Amino acid sequence: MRHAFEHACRRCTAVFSPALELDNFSVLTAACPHCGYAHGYDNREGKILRLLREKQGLTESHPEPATPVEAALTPPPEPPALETEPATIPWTTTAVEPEYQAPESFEQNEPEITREREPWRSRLPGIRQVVFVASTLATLLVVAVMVMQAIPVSDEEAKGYLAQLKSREADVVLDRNGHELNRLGVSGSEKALLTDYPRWQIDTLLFAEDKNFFHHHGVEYTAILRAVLNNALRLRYAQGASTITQQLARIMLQNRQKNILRKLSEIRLARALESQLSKPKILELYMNHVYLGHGNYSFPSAAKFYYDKTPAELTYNEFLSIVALIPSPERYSPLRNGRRLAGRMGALYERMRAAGAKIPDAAAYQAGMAAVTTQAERFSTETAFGSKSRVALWPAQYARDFLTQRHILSGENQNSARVYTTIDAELQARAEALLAKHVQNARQNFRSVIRSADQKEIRLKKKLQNAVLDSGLLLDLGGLPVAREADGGLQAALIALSPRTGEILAMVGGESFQSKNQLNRTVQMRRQTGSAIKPFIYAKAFSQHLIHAATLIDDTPYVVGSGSKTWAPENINGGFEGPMPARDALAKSRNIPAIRVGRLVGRDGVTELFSDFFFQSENALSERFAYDETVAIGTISLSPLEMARAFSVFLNNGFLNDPLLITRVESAEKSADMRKTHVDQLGLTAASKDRLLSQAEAQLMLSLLKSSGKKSGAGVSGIVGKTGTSSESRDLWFVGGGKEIVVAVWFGYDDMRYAIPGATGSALAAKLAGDFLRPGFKPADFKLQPGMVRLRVCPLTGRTASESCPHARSEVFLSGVVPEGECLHGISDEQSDFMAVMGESQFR
Amino acid sequence: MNFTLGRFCFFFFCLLPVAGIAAASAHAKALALRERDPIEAEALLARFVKETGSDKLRRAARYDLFYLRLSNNRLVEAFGQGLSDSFRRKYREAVSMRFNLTPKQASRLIGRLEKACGEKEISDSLAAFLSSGQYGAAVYEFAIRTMQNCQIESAAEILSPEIWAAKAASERRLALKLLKIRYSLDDAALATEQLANIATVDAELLAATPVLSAQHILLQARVALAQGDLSLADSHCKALVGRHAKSQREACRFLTAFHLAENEQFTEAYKLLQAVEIAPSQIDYRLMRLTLAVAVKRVGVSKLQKFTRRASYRYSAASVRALAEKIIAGENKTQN
Repeated sequence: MRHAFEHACRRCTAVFSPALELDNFSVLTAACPHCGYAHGYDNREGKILRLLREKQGLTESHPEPATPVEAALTPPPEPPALETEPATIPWTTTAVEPEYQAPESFEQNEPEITREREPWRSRLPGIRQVVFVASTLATLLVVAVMVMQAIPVSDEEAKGYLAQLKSREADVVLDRNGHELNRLGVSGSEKALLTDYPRWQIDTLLFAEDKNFFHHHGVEYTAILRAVLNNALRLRYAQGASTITQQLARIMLQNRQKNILRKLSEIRLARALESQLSKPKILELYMNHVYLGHGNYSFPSAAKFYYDKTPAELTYNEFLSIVALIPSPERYSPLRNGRRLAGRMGALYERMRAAGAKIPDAAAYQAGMAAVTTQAERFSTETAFGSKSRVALWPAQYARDFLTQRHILSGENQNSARVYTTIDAELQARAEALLAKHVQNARQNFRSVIRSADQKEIRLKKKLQNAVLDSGLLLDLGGLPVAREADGGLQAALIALSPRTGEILAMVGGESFQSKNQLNRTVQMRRQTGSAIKPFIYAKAFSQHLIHAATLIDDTPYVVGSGSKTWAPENINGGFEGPMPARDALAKSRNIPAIRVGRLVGRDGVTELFSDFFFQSENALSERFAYDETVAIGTISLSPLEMARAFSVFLNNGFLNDPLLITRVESAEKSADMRKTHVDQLGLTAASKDRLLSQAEAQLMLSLLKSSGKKSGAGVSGIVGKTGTSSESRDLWFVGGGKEIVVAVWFGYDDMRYAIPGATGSALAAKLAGDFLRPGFKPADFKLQPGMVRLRVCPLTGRTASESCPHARSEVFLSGVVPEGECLHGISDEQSDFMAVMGESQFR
Repeated sequence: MNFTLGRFCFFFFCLLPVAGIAAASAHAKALALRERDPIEAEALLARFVKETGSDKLRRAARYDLFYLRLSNNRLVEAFGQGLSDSFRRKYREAVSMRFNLTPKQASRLIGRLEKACGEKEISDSLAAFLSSGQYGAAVYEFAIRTMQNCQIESAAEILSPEIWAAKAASERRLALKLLKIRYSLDDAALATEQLANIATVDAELLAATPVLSAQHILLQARVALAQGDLSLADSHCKALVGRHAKSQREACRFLTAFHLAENEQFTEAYKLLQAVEIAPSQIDYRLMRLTLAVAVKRVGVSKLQKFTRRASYRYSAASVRALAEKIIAGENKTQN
């Protein structure tokens, strides 16, 4: 099919009609008939044809289905009236059948669910397969149900579950001194009687979750069969068929796994509940225990949390938004994804309208949606634990996730468990406050440079856009750099641990524990370390006796390779300072000496170093480490936790510890000591028991790190540490500490394309670490160990200092790894020895 | 035409990486020689800086050359590089440390020397600076040699004749007197007179400062050799005893050997140097001993020829080079 359209030639500007085969989805070409200039047209995705059709007013024969969001915003045509008065039926807790009758209209005229669907033929694996799978599953199901029917849950068992349900409490996270840090969920959900809810609310809930609630006996076998078939067709778990009674049974069983065994257990308990409790009581229990996100375990709690109202005060839209959360409270959370929630609400609304339910008209619904959206926006700073909890959310979240993943606790946070952690509440609070303050300051101080950098990117993007438009090619500009918002985005993380035990004392994964970004940067993020890696390179060189603290290492240009493959690294300030002692090279964080030392250590040595200090398993090493000379200046990405853990080796006499956050978990059923059984609880491979550095080597490193700590900008007397700044100031680090604490601090953007122009680890990370460590700081003790010697050396020559060397200073060495020879400074009378020393030849 | 172009392209692209590798290896070779043969390493680096086509390698070699010169106390040779932005601060520090000057003084000294080199003559400001600051002989020698490197022939004139007029004896003044004599040895009679004067006027000071005394004796030996009085020179050389006279004792021995060699007494000259320990940086001594070894047939001429092809050969003293070339020419004549 050839289409013609008009186009102005880029070269001669004459208008011509390039005739193109638009059925051919590729880059098409056509030459200008006037000047011969060849134009390219990107039709790889049929873009040109689509544009032409739009231009010519041609519509697609099959318009794309509306998205859930669009559906939600589409006003319904017929506005039925809403019945707002409360139900007048006497809701009782006895087994008397209630007078409440479900509206028959629920079962009539039910429209198709407006979810996006693939063409059914393409999903169909084949009729024979379907029949086989379906018949097999149906047979299995029938057999299982028959077995289950034959073995019902006893009354005592069901009562036990009910008692547990009533006494269930939130899990509590405690600090190292037994003080409560946080509650995972709320301690007691607010309860309400069924009569407290207006009738339309009950109708809405039942419509959404269980239309036949008042007609079944706890289980709907036809619905289960339908779900089984549907899942078999899709070859995945796509649909459930739980009644409200089954859902209540699931809450009681605390089992969120999606499998047939869970289903069978639910069915048994659901049937038992139906035989023991009235329908209204089941419904009331359900509404008082269903999880509705963010630590809310009942409708009253959710109404209070999301809208600060009682259930009776909720509008239709507000109540519908809570009902819409039930299938997946976190997924549809208004805190996380208001649009998704709106989509689901819209779908429910449409179904109710189509079913003839008495609901507000389209205009009222739209107005109500606006109110819901406005309410949702106020949650941008709320937390996953609700608004009540503010301190230690990062470690609490980590503990919760870990314990849930290991099936020690259920994800609903109501195990009545006490989780003991190593967190020091005081340090944690200080860390959180300081980090927030320093991030704010950094945003303020670097605002202009960040904005300037952004402007450059914006200009570049515009230029590229113009160039692409001028070229006549309809190219997609996706993937080009985009400017960030100058104010937001800058983040930081801090983790502090005890070097002796590996216990985590404070963990702050970001500026604030926001609902939209709960990335725990201390453990879940790996970034290039920059110069913060250098102490480990030097430590390896010392332990292999390749250098000593006074060895002169050249800080001069270093060039590897030739031609286009030449690599010539630079120092951060671009200059070179010439030969300098290893101590000074580390303290001044010079790149070239570090690369030279890394080269001296060699591929095997550096690999061994990373294996020992960071990646204790072969797998981790092969996945995350690839040797080249740049690793000596920190091109390997590590997490703050990994950095802090590795650095603690220097403060722990050469031993590597396993980091520890959760020490003990106590619940009604069991008590578990996590210290020994879960050494990998921070996601790191367990440390080898071998010592990584001898005591003398560790002390030597401490001595050197005191020099670098002094220059780090932390401003804490006696601190040992090292700053790091990755390329173009993308990551700013400080790692260091004292006798009882090691801290790793990171500053940067989550999006690795962005940098903080001109910032350094010293300017940001070290300052935060300094403020955090200063109160009550105890410097690391340096003691001259057996196997060490102290000598006076000349830093200019790298030799031992002569008696009268004016540059002499004290230096520590490992025994047997000391400078050779003595410097000549001050030995002869330089005033008179000029002819010999100056090297002037005696000849002419 | 196409064939030629094709061949050119083929060789160009084949040889390009080879040239790169060769360049990198020349640089690496120079660096490897830094400890064993520092002057040769310096010469190789200097040549590499001049010849390499790679900017990055040139920059690296420039740094290596500069710091090699500094580490070997070759501040005069490093002067040119020390004026560049990259090295000025480091050079000033080195000069300051070497001559015990304040950074400000070092900076002024370098600045005035830079001016003198630019104008190709001793500037008044340099003379004023040196005379005002009570600077030692080492500073003067540094200034003189730097200016000589800048082709200022009259550099030694910076040493004011007034030092002879001053009555009060001082170690500094004595050192300056000795330095002045050293740069005016062409006039042997005057030098003899001045040395005698020192022996009389500064006798006590000479006795108290063994290093200056050794310088005084060495200069006496040089004058004696210049006058052809070998036995007097020998007696002076024998007077050079003690730890402080080590380098002068060595110099005296080589000067004597050189004098003998000039008189074609190669065997005697070689005997004098046979057992002497020579530091790798003393390229004149090395060349001279090798020359004498060739002259007495201990070593084949090819070794000497090879030595003359070294990059650092041009750094050797002209007189020693002339002697070596004379021996090579003689040997070649004999072989033919």
